[in-house]
Amino acid sequence: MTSLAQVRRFRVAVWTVIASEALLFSGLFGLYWSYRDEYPRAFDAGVRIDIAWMGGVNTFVLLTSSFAIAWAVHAMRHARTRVVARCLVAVLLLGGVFLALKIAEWTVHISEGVVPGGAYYTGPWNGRGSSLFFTLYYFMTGLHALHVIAGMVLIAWVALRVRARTLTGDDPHALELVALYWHFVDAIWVFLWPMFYLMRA
Amino acid sequence: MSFWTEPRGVKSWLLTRDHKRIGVMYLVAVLVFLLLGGTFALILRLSLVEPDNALVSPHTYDKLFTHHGIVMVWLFMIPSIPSAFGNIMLPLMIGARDVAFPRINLASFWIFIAGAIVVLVALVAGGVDTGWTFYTPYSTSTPTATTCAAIGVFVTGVSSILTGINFIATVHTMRVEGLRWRDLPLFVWAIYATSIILVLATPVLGLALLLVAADHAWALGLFDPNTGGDPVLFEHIFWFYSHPAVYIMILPGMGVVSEVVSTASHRKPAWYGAIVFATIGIALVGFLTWGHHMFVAGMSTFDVGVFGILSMLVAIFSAIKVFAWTSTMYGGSITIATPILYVFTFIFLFVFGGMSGVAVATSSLDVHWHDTYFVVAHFHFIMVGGTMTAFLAALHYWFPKLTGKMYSETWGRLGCAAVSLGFIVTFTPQFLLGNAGMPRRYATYPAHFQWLHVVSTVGACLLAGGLVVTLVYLIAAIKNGKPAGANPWRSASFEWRSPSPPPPENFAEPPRWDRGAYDYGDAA
Repeated sequence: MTSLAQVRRFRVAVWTVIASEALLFSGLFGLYWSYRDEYPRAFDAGVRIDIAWMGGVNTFVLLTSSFAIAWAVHAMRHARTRVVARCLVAVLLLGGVFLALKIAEWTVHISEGVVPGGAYYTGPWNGRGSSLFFTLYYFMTGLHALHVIAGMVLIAWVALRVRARTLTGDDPHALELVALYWHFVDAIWVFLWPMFYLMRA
Repeated sequence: MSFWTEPRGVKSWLLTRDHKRIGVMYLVAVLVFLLLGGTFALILRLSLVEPDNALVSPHTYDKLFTHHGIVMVWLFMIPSIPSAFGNIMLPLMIGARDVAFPRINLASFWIFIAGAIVVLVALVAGGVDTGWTFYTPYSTSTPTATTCAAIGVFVTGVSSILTGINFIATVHTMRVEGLRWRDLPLFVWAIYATSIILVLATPVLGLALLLVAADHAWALGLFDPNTGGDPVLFEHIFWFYSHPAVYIMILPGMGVVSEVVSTASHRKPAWYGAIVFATIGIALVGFLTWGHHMFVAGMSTFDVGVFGILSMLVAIFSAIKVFAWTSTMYGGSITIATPILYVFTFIFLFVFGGMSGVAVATSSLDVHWHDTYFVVAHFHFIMVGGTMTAFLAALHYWFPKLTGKMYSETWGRLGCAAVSLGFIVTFTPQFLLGNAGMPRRYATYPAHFQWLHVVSTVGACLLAGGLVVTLVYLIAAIKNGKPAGANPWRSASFEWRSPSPPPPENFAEPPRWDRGAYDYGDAA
């Protein structure tokens, strides 16, 4: 049983981690917007090269997973453990789909020669600034994918604890905090999606 | 039964979760890095005795000032007071058994050591010649070991963030019952404000360094004008951390000064609320001043003005503190001892360094002084002088708490005199050199600058001598010092209520917050 003091401690810590991570991504957002301002054509071309349907599906997948984990938290408060377990498995599956699509998209890009570093080839328009777009694309989506993986590890840990019945409706705090983190990872993607898939010039 | 010997064994130290032991390990580590960084500085100073630099080649010189900066900034000053004394004292001062997450605290220490080792590997395997600021595009194109050094610093940053999270959670949730925010000791406030900066600024530095490391390794050209990149953008990201970082260095020092001033004057700090306000104010405004590093790097006049004014705002917060400290001392019956002597030096260096800071925040003047020894002298006065004298004040002030022994006061005063005088003699000539046009980071100079360089080097030798003497008598005192008793300074602060040295569980009996940390009655 987690004591009230421990719960408060972990809650402060998780919110602090989220603040820290937000600043981590804000540096990259700053880079993106500065360069986008300088090279609107290259960024427009880059957004067109990125595979829109994959980005769109991935957004749907992550938002659904956020819904599923919110449902798990809700079910946990009513001690419906079986629902919790199903929701968590769904979140993990959706996270897996997200990563699979991400890897598929990177693979397509790389096979077309759109690679980070070295010589960029960005198809129809390979002007000044397009290498910046794709360096940021790989860096930001890659960093976000690492966060998805970290979140999935945490969710798997929570799921195992639910199965072992060490995480119950009386003591749901670990699930709530992990869900909080997962929502944050989701929210970051909600910003990345328009920046890399929607915002044509 | 003290935390030093209980439990016994090397393993019980290396894998300890006791905040005091972790703090002591940090203390040993940062002292080693202080000596290392100081040695680099001493070689630099010795090679500058002659205008044509016979001691080291110009390229070695470039590496030496880079190594000096990297080691001093990231391996000494950033962790010095927060990680060492913050770890040891924070739980004691708020009556806690330990920090909020003892295991993460231990992980944080070993991550710091791992990062430091990676940095040292970079220094040995080819070295780095970019300056500690890693400015692009040079840092991404130099053949030296930038990638390795940047990754090492990144790893120490992870440790900083974990420490910051731990301290924030500790202050929020581990205070002894009855200890309200408005009664927190000022050192705790300082560590709390520092932790906010650690948590919010360090990730941006980590990002900047990761980008430099990746760029250097794979030629991404993210900040390279050849591929459309903007080197000034790197400077923005870098200074977004590295300017707040100077407050990571100085805020804990200010906290130490507040404690020592109050204890030595035997009265509660004047303007407690104002000091807290100024502490948080510096932490927050510190995030909005980074642009003053780039007044000549291509910035609109409007931006220059805004960053200049915001930078000067920090001087107001700092002045509040200086006036509060002097008012505390004014009319108090001050017991003179080594810690308060170091605080006097701190206030001197801080006031003069701070005033030169207002001067360099003035853009018209900064254009003249940018990248000269004037700036070097300014930041050494305020940041290095401030951090180091506060660190030494803390080391002497809490030495009896930590060891149960008293160092030799005579040697303490001699060491303090040597360090203080050495510091002032080293850097005062550099103000003059910079104003006369001596650029920083040059291995050579015109002959008419020689006498000022010689004076500076003499000061550096005195400073180094003072530091070595200090370490020697302190180490000797661990073994041979007179027993200090639980509270040799007769301080009212909470950490002195436990035995000195404290037992592993910090307090012999469950602590009670029955009187304030500055409750000296009407004695003053």
